[in-house]
Amino acid sequence: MTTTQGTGPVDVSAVAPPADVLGLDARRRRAFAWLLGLSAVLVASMVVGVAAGSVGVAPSVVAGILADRSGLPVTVTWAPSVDAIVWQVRFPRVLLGVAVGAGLAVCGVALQAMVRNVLADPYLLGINSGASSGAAAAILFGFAAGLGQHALSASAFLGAMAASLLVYGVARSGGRVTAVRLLLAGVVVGYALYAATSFLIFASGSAEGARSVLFWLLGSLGLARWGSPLLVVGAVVALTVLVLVLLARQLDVLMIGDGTARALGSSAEALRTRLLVLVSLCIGVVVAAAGSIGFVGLVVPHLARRAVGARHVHVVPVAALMGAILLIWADVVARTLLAPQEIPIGIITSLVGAPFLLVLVRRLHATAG
Amino acid sequence: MTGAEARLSAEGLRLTYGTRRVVDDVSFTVRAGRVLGVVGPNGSGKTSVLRLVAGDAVPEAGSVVLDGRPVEGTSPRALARSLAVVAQDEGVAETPLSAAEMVMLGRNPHLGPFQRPGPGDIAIVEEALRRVGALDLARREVATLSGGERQRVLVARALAQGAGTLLLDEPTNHLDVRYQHEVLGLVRSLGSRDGTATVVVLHDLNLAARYCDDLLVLDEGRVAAYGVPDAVLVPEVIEPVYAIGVHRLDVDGVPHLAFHPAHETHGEPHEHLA
Repeated sequence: MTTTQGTGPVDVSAVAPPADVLGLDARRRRAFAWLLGLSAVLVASMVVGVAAGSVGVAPSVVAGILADRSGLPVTVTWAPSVDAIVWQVRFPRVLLGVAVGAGLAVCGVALQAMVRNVLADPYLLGINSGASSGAAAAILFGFAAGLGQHALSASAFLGAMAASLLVYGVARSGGRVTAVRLLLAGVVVGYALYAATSFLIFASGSAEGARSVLFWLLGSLGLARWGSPLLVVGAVVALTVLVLVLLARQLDVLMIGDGTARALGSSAEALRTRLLVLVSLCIGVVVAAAGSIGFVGLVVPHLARRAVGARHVHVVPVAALMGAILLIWADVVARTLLAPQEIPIGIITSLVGAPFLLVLVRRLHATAG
Repeated sequence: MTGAEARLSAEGLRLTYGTRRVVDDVSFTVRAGRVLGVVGPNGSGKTSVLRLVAGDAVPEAGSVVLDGRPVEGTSPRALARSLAVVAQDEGVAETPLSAAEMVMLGRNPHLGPFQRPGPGDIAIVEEALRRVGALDLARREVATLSGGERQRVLVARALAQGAGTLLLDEPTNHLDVRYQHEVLGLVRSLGSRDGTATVVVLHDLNLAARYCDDLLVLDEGRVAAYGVPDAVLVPEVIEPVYAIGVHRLDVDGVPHLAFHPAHETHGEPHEHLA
């Protein structure tokens, strides 16, 4: 064992040598490279996402329309109908996909740290079940009809918030909000609200309504329009990403264990409560806008960790970009595979996610055994 | 090392889970530079005592005073600057953190909530890893380290915390003989060189005899004996606590215990071993 003559607990006066002995700089450079690469892929994916669909549009036309709409002087070579499709429908749809994908991915990262379980996903807290109940109430019984076109989203959001309050209440009732208690509360509330949604569908007796609810449950970006809902989703997701990056070291500590977090000077319970508020808000907004799109929040955190390691200061932004890219492509497939019919995007993400989960479980067994 | 101030003192600690009293009237003092070993059979309250000291559990009666301040009521952040804990079976097996990143978490109580570690923190982490002889492991993921290496990294994290008092819960668990001695030798050297006060929970009485200055023997939550190993590790104390026959040999001036189960007491211990 090599030792040096130390006098204090640790010699602070020692200057960090230029060489990256600890490998911390290497990890940072790696994360930076991933961020740059993924940003480029995201931009390219957004262009493809706008160009692809039942009516194909050339990427140059997409760029032209974007420039034209930004007020740049360009010669308009495309029909007004193309402009309408690209600007009114596809741009907001792709932007919503970016926000929803990023939001689901970073909430998955936060959730996996909060309950310290790599198989946790954002829907584990039953928030999407609450949103589903709200959506079902709006679709089947005209709940919040006074809000006009925003009735569905508003009702779903109310349901999501009610669910997260319930989860918090149940998790809190025994005193400390531990990982296991939170998990249990989420599962209990999730099942109860799932039953409530099923009851609403059953009680309405409307086959058409049941179909709408089912379609909504499987997720879709089809409701995307320019306007305040898109703005709200974007703002909330951006805020969530920012706060999680700022809290990154606390997430690192939380991921190891409550006892360790405490020993390192962080209160796991207080942090978990704060994160629960943030994640509930983000998931509530996302689910209200796009339904329950599964597997993104479960799968992407793993991909991000494999790429850049465990530190959340790297994992959170990388996961956000990966989630956004994944959702754009899933939506492209959903729109084009059976065009002009649209497949619910949740089916695509589940089809991609399920085999991934299988691989993950096998790998977990390999390391545990 | 006499005359040094008391870093850590516990007075009349009591803790009850349900109807079971797991810690009952436990008192001890650890001075700077000293290593206190906490020993006792399974369920004797060793880990509970450690949790009380770490502020993880609140005592029903009694108090813990660390550097002149009561632990109860101290914020986790302030506590973490004077007390470092290496818990048993931390969830480090699953995390893909590198060893250097793990040790850097020891700087957590010194950094503001949104503050990034600076060059000073990096220097401290490097020095801590060097001190435990694990600098070459810095880039490795903690999950891929052997038990002994992992334990050294966790001790390095405790060093990076810059705390004057160290708590270790069975740090030699799952380690082979060589690493058991290596880890405890490291703990011992921290005490004699830096004046770190250490409380270490141990299963192995012979390791405790070799590396601890004082021993606290617990039996069903009570103190069965408290003193230097030479006075505590005698058959009159150990036999009733562990319900097993004990024969003591002294090797190089260190007490060494050989055990013989009650049903095998027909043969006398081999005296020539001494």
